[in-house]
Amino acid sequence: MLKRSKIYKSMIEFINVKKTYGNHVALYDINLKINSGLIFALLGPNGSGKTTLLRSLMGLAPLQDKSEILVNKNSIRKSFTYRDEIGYMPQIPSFPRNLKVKEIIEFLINLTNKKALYLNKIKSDLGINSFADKQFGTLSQGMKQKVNILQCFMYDHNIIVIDEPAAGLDPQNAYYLKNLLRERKKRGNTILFTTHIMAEVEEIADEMTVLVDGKISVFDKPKVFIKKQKAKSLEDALVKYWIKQN
Amino acid sequence: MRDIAVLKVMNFVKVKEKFSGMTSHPFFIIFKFEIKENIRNKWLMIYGISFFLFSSLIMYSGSDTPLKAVASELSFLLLIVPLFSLIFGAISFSESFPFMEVILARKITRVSLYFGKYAGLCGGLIISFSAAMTLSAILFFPAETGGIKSFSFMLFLGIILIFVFSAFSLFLANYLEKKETLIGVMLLFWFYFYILYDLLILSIGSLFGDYPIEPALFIMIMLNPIDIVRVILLLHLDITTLLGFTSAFFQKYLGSKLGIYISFSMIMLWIVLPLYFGFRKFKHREI
Repeated sequence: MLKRSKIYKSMIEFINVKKTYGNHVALYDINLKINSGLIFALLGPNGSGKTTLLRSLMGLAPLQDKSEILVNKNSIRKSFTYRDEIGYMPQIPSFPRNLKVKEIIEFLINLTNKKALYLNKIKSDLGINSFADKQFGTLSQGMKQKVNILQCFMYDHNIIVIDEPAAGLDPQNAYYLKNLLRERKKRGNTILFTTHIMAEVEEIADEMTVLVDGKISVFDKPKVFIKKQKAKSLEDALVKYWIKQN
Repeated sequence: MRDIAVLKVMNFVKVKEKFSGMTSHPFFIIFKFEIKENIRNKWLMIYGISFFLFSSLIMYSGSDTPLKAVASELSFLLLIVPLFSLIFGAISFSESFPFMEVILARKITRVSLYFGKYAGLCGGLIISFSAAMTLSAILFFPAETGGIKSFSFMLFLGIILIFVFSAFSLFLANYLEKKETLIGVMLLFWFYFYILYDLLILSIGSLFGDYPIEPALFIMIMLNPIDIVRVILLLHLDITTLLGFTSAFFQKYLGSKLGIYISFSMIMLWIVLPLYFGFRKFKHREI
């Protein structure tokens, strides 16, 4: 783990997180601290364990052995109430096909005690009102992703977790989402997202970690890492780094 | 008098508030959502329409008395209801896993989610089944007063089968992830309960017919929910002569109050056990 020059209040902490599926080890004792008010990127190739780590945080993949995850110093093993603070946007929006968009959103709002402060604003920004009465199964991929963005961002969550934000997003929606993330960061929210697109990380992430075969390979700020490797882009920097390692 | 009226109104308001509080519980929210989703499912509509058509055909052609109508309907009900409940339940549950990620990302327990989905699944199936059966009965059921009681009882037993086999569908869907394997096992399951098991009972009956095998047959029947429902309905219709030599035994034991309590207790076990083991797996599995 690299040392920080300043000490921040830790928002999410992964402690010895290990995950195995039969003989395959997806995560090898991951230790990671994500501080509040940052946009944090989890990079890595397919199968590196990024999504597994995210799903462990969300309680979708049960923790094994001595793995521990703390959210605001509270263990997620002891209580699930931490999920009230987290907004989650899955990679693929697979919502019920036969229900209308407004019914799905109403259902998700009813499940949460919090007020959907940004519901009307995001609906208006993304033009969701024009297809709110359509069944989800009849929507285009772009429209489905808009609904996905809405369900995640309509609340003022302290933590936002996104799995591959650019997946299936057209350039216009991708631009909107990036602005949304910057806006939420200014409010002090913590954002954690997985990606294998370097350009996204360079553009918006404050800190990043690279997972390779279930282990942390790099942990740094993107701009600092690029400077250290004397590269022009993050992609170049990573290539140079791996060449040195090998 | 005025004070009593005020007290009554206050009590009513308290009960109403308590009820509103209950219905805002995640279980009820998920239950209502699932029913809404299921009744719009085209396969459930096709099932309802097909059930209505075949049921009407059976009632129309050659069922001039309520007894004959119910007996004819029974075979069709025992064939279709378990099969469709198994397959529809398993497929809709396994296809809903991606959306469960979004639900469980909220402050929702797996208990509320699992049992809310189960209740919603049963609700959708019951609505489709009951509407089809009731409509065909209104149009074609022989109009005799005694028939309504028999028909209602058959409807009730059909609903019980929905609860049983929906519980099984969720249980199996939790253990079998591949859809092809799941459908295959569902069909085997149904084949076992509907056909193989009765072949087994018939074989035992014919091989050991000279011996007092009624207690063994009784136990064997208790181990198949389809057979429990069949025998209960036949006893109710008082046509146990169809069961042959064992009719006296079943009339004596299953026809008595104790027999009925045992039968319904076994049915409850057939609902509770798959639900319990299904949930145990669901609680710890990866979504």
